[in-house]
Amino acid sequence: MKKRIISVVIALMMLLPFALTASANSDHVFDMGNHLTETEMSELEVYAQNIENNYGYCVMFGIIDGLDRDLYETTYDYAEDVYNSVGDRDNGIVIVDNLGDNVYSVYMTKGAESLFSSEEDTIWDAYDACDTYYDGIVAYYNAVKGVLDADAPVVNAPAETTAPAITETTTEFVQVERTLPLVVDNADLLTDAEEKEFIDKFNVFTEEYEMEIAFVTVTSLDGKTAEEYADDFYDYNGYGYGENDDGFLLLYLPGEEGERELYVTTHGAAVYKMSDDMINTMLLNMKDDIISGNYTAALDTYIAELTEYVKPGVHFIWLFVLILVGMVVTLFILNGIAAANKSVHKAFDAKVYVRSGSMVIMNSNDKFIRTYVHQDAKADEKSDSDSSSTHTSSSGRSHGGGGIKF
Amino acid sequence: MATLMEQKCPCCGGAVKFDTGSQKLKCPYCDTEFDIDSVPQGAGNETAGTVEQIEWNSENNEWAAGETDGMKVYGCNSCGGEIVADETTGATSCPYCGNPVVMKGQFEGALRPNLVIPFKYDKKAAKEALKKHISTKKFVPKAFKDENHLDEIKGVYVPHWLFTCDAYAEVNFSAEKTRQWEDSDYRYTEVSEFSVFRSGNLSFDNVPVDGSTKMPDDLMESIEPFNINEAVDFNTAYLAGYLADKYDVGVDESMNRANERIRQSAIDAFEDTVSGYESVTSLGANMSVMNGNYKYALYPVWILKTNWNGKDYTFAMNGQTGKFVGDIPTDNALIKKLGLLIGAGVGAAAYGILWLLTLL
Repeated sequence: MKKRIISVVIALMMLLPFALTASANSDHVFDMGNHLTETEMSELEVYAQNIENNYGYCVMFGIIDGLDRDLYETTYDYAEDVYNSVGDRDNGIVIVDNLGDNVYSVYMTKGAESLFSSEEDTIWDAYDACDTYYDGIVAYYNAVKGVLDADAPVVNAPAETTAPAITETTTEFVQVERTLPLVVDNADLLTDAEEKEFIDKFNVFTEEYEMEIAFVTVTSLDGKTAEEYADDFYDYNGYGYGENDDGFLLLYLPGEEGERELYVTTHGAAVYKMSDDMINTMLLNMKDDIISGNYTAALDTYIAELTEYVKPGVHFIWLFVLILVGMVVTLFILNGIAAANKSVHKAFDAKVYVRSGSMVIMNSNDKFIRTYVHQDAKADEKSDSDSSSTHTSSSGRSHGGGGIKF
Repeated sequence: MATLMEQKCPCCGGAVKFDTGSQKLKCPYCDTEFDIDSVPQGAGNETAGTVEQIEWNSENNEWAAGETDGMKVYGCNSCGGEIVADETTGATSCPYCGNPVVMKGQFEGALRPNLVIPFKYDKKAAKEALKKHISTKKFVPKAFKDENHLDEIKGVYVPHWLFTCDAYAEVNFSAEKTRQWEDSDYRYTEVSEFSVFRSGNLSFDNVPVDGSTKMPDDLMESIEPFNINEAVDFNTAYLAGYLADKYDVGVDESMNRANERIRQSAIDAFEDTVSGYESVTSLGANMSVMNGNYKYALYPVWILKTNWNGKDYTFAMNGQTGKFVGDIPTDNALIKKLGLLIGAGVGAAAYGILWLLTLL
């Protein structure tokens, strides 16, 4: 497969020398005009692979700055050629956006025609409506996924084993691979540049600590609580690193004073990296920046605090605490041993002089006086700030987390 | 008139001593051994010792009034030397010739002990026990081990009062039973309080109380118990070669100490019968003693005194069972040093392990 990609890329480069200053390509997404960053390319590749794994459709997207008229008459010819060079599935679709000629073309295999031919415009519109290429392609993948969902259940639905209740009512499922970027700014609070900046920062964090870190803004919680929304968003969009989907996701719902909600959901190994108290402290530390609209500062706090909790190692202060405890305990034990040096003690009793068998109990009386009941609220335990409390999300998976409303 | 008594060897005329190994009298000069029973009470070479006039010839240096109280002076039967002894001393040895002597009058008439437990361990055994006692203890200053020297070692028959009685006790206890359960919101603890009463009899045999003010009570109680079954009727012959004191704490005074111990034992014994409760607290006891009687006995004790850094350390060994006690100095500086070093090491190691765990 890789060899084929490389050969296609080389061919395309030869075909379009005028259009290329630099290009980036993955299995499913190719960008001949350097409109996408490498990070975005890899994010988009995750979407494509996720769809391919779950539905069995090869869904591709390409951006070119123009056509070599000697080789291709139309953008459609180009799209067909690219698909057949790369897409090795019977079922598949590719859209090529030809920026040079300001046209686009959709190529689909026969197996996909019945499904997509009527939805061609919808899919394109989803892409076209977005401001950036990246957002557009994400929208494209979501639209394709919507069509596939409407048509049939997933090919291999992992959700059926983990959360059967959900598959009965919805086609949502716990994604194996992440389908969305690490920053999803639905409420449009960040500029594009800021979004990119934090996607990069989050990626660095994810690679360094093998835990995903994400930020999502929304305009509505769709009737869910912040906890439910964050958990579901995390589960059904495939967030999390590695087999156990370890990671943190910060959800923010802007609004009037008292309506704003900030919630962190944790999953997998991340749950035990932060106690409830730590989460609460972190959110409170971000609150002021968020109120004043300084979202980048709040996100920097988010990254910095998570780094503190996630990075391997134990805070230096514990070294002193442990040494101190070690000293006190050792001194206690040694003094206990040395207590044997004192062997002269006054006798307490005359036990050894009791005549054996001489004890006669003449009167034995046990009288009940009163009874009373102590009642301790269990809720006290929940507020134990040192622990990481967990709950089960709608997918049946276990999450940690906490939130504030302000 | 104080009287000295020596047990003389019928073969060579030397003063004989009690031998712990053979449990007989033995002449140190000709090695002849005698059964204790073969020596009739009061036999031996009795001489009327002279109570010397305590009158020193130096100028204006007379004993102040009361200064000679508590002292007695005897003349040694063997060498004629003066033996100055405490008023209570019942057996000792002449400081000049080393002859063992027994002050006969100290144990006569009403002062005659009922029982004596003979020494089973000799001086050598006591010395070895001391060495072992020190060597098995931890954190003893090295200088103490190396430098302490035995100032004094003496086998002493210590006067004890033995109390035998039937005790009747009434003891009140407060006891609690607890039961726990929980529901989804609360954890419940039900405490039921009970008033528990026990009364009954408990008998005690030969509870010993130290009858000598010279011996610290806690030291004597620490080498208990003595096996009274091995006690024999008193015979002055057992005292030969040892020190002995007559009692100077009266029976009435000693009885209080015996009662304290008997009372505590009665409370403990009855408390053991209070079962089925999570906690039992003794509130108080009334005790009366019936059929009480007491005996006067001499118990064999080795006393060893060492000196280190200008401080005296006293050890005692039960001359019958060999039980050895005595407080030993502790090297607190060493404990501090070790505690800080080991503690720091353990703390740092624990930190290291925690750090490594975060990598998993």
